[in-house]
Amino acid sequence: MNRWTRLAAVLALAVLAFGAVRFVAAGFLPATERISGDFGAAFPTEYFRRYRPDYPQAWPGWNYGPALHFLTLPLLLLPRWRMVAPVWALTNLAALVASFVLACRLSGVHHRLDWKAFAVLAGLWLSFQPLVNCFRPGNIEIVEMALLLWAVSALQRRADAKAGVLFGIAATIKFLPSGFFYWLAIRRRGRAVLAGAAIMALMLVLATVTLGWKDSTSIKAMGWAADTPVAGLHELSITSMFLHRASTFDAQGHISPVRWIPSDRAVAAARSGRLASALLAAVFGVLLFVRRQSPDIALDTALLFMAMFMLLPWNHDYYYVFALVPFSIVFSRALARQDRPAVGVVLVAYLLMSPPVPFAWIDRAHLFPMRFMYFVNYYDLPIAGALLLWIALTSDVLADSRAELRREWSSRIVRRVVFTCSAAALAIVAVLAVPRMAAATGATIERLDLQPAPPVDEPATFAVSPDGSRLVYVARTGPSRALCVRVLARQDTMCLPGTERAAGPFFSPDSRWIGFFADGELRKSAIGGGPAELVSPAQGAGTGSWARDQTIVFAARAGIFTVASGPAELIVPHRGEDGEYSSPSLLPSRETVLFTIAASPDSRVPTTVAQSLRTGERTRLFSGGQTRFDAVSGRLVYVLGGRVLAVPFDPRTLALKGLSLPVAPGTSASVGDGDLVYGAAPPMDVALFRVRNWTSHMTRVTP
Amino acid sequence: MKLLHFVSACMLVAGPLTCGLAYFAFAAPRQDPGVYLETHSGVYSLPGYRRRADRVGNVYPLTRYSQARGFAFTDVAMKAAVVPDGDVESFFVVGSKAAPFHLAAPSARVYGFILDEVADQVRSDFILLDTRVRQVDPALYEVTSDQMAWRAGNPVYDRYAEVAARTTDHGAALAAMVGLVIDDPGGSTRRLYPVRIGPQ
Repeated sequence: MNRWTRLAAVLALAVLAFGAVRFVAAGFLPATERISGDFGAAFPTEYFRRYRPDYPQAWPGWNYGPALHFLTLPLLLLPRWRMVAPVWALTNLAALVASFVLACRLSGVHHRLDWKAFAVLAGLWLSFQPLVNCFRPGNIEIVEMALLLWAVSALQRRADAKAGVLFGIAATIKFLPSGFFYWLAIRRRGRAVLAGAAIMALMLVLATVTLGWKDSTSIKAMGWAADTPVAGLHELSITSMFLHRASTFDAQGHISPVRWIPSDRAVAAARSGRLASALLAAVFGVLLFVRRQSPDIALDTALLFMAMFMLLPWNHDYYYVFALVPFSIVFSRALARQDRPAVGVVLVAYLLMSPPVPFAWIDRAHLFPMRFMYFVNYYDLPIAGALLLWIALTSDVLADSRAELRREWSSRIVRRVVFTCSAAALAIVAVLAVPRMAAATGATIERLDLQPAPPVDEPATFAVSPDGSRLVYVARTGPSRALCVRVLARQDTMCLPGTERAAGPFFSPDSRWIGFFADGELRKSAIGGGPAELVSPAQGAGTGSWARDQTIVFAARAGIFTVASGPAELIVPHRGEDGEYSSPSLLPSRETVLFTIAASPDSRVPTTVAQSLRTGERTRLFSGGQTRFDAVSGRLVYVLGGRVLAVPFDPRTLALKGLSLPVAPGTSASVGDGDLVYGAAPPMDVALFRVRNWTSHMTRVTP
Repeated sequence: MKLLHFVSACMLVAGPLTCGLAYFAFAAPRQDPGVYLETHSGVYSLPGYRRRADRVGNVYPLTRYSQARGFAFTDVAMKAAVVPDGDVESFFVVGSKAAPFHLAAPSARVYGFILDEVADQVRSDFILLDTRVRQVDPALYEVTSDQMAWRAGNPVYDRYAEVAARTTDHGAALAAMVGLVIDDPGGSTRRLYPVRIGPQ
């Protein structure tokens, strides 16, 4: 043994010893003292709470997949709660050792490496910060990793049914390994797919019978994930990288939640991340398909492990424990072929994912203004490391797939598919971005020159068609009034015959008909002219709207009526203490009617309410009237005190979702397809103004 | 590791990320310089009003304010954002190199006042709230006050109740407001960012 070999041996032992000490101190020993993490929401905890008086927590409902709960169920057999943590820690330790052995064997080069390489690799595993973060609270990912590697090992031995069962169990722990089934399918491992599907079906049935889906906090959390994909700094997926870069952090040493200024940036960032994740899944799905006949399944496995922690809409830092598998495979192979650049790249990736010194040590040195874990997350260093590892792995995959790629590329069909997918990706980006680009052009405001003009002695009465092409308004025509239709893009105005003394016009959903009130009747008239048709008697009615199901809703003295094909039906009787009802409209569910209660002796301002047609329950929304829900912008547009305001609104929950912001000074307003028309208040001005792209006007910043 | 494979791998990984970035660049609203309001439901930009700094003490003659740009509103109540449930949490003052709007943020203050929307009058004095200003990053400040919340014991709530009790008109016309006031960096102008809280 020469001097360099001795030095390498000492270094290898040092790395192993460092990793072991770090792992035992920061991971193993704390894990034997208490369990938190995934186990806090595990199924047996309910039974511990019931049968073990010493169990410290209440059951918050079950989380993740059902297999997590069935796998931890045997812990119930332990007589004392304090025994659970050490037993579970030992279980995780066994899973960790098995994972390490299986990953080394999977690399396919274990017989070409000496003990020093394995010592270094083991040391790097044990000092991997995400592993420590995962082990300490007793999270399930280490068991999941062992199951998957065991399944791949079984697959190599052609034990497909056994592999399928293991894949099925792993996939129902947290649903992360679902991509393995796509891979099994394209490799035509039918028995494995069937066995996996069968075990997953069994798990789902067992979960339905024993756990009950109503207590699944994962399902409840899906809505949360859609609204706020990343709540803090500890998430490290492709999507969260986009969200982190779009948001604001506290760099002054305080750990505060991620903030997006303004909030809409989060929506765009989440979509960007999901788009990038979907495209990555597509690209690597194609690459796996191209390699479907390659005997080297280790590289495929490594790619699928990468996808498990990088392509989720959100994740946690300890999910990076899965990076150990691709890292081991790429690192071992680079060592075996003595590829120093590759070893260097992989080690840099490792260091970015897991700095070599425990975070607590760095924090004690006060090198950074915030806790080191947050510093690392702040700059998304683990994501950068994971991307570098992914590139190194992909480089190996491409080198291994030269023959397959050449063969597939020679196929005209494949070339067409690749070009079509690329064009589709660009088209998706364009389609998603164009509406926002249009909005970014800003609002334009124009005064509408109307001939014949509206009456000068009262507020203007008008409506914009849902397609935004036309405006109908009450005009003074000689001694009387009539409805006139103005094509907004041109100066064309046509007054409709048979609409004398008309009031309260509104459009049909297809923009082809106009409803209005005249002489105590509800009538309708085609926009192209023709005689007006009687729809229903409507004594005392003055305002209405036309729902998508062709129902017309109108307000009269007796309350709110609907009329479809038969006689009008009273759906909201007037309550004696209320002021007059007006501006009724059905929300998209058609189970709730929105209307205005006019000012009364008890209230000097009108009030907008939503009332359930099923239960009669009434929800007061805000002060203001003439309220309409604009489905295009998701806002309620209303008038209060001589100004037009708009507020984001959820028509399902009837909740206001943000600030109510003024849009324009006006006493009446109507919206259609991105345009808003408002009428200025007499006697100052009787003109109508059209605001194109009105929501962009609302969000404009005025420093 | 062959360079060709490494470059190809970079392209395979970077391509989808670039598509995501391109979408974000086109689709995301920017964090433009200005003042933003954080409520329970999110962070929104606010329109503001400005006037020459000829105030007397802390009294701001609101009817003389006009909006910096846009529509010719003449009074604050007309252009104030309305916060459902009054859950105002923080103001954010965002600047940039081109618009160093944040430079005056350390002297920002939050006031509360009561308006009568119908009579268009201020129905109280201006109440200086306990204000905390915190620099979040070099061009971003958070300005907040525990007294902005709409609850009994806070000055704006109590003053609103007092004004509503003694007014002979109905209280529904009264508007409880909080406003962020900041001087422009030059000191020649000051701006008010009003928000309506309380009953609506």
